[in-house]
Amino acid sequence: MTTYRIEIDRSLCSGFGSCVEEVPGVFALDGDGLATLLVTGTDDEAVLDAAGSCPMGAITVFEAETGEEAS
Amino acid sequence: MSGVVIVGAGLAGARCAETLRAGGYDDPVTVVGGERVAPYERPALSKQFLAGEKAGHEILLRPSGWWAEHDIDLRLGEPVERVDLDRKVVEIHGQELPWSNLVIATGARARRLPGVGCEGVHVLRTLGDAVALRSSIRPGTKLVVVGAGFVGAEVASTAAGLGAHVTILEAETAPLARVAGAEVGLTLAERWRKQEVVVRLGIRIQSVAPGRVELEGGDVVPFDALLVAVGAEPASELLGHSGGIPTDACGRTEHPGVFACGDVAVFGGRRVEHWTSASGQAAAVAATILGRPTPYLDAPYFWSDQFGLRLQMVGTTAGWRHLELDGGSDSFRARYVDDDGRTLAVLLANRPREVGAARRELASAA
Repeated sequence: MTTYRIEIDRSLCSGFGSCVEEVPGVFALDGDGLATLLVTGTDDEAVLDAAGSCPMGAITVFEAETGEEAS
Repeated sequence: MSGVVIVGAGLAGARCAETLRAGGYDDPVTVVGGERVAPYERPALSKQFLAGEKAGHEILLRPSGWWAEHDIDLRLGEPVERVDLDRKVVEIHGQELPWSNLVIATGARARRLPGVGCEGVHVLRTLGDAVALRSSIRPGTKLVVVGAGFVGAEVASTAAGLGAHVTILEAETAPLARVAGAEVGLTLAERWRKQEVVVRLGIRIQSVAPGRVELEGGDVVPFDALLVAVGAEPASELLGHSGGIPTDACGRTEHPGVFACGDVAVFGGRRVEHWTSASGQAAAVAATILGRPTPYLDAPYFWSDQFGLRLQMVGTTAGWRHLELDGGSDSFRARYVDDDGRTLAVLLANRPREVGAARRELASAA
């Protein structure tokens, strides 16, 4: 069951990689060194920590069911 | 035309590029930055960013798409390896970028302490540094700050606000003694101590090992995180200088078509590491490239927010002989006067309405 939908604002991503450290199964750095999603949705609550840890605030997590921003 | 290449994507580099475009410059403008992040407000690193009040995107100088919209080519995460003044190219990643005008705005880098580099030791200069420092500060964290300058005091203030136990270690017998004088420094230290920060003055560090600082005399101060805040050094080696790049008051170096501005420049005879100077110098460089040379000679100005005080200084205190101090640790004005009774600088604490007068006074004295 997918609980969370994730969006990355790639224009803000600066390649710090903190999201990858938090949830390596969901986030990865691509060839440009920018964050990319390995899945579009997950029920792993750690994605909330990943969003919070992003220095640039480039990651937003939504509740899949309601479409509202999760925090 | 090969255009302008600006090396450095801090405030000076960014402002220079903006001012070129605003002034009608039509040829290519490239800004090359060693950090991966678009130009941002460095002063926020020790304050709102470290406090978690602002995310990285909230301290960007311009929204992320702005640079492309203004036809400014931002090349981030690409430190310049070499400058060839004869062939007028810079080298990045083995690739050559040609220029007709070159602006060196590489800023400064945090000074480190020789032999101090173990786990838990931080400096604060870049957003990456701030990210690392921020993740190490939690309520109850033992933070040691080495150096009671402005960056050290601001970090101490922010960290104390986050619930860390902060100890400041300073080599001099008063904080900011060289810049502001011992009397003012001790007034500030009194305020820091009231807010539960341990301030130890006249301290010599013997060694730093993971989790512990050993002082001369045998005292040991434990830490979870340690910030080395002992100033910055100009990153001027691209042009073969070690103490900053000398320029005239329009930012021109000794090399035709090559300019410098911001923290890296000894601009018109003095090197100043302040926001307003970097901005003003960058605008002067852009104007000169546009064929309208405009010297930048404004009195230095800076501010520092710490422990509920807004400190604002106009002028430079170098060569002061007399200090006139009015007020106490909640609000004061310090006036730095030379032997002839001339005011060299004014430092204000929580007296924002007196800044304008101080500026006018120093401008008329110059």
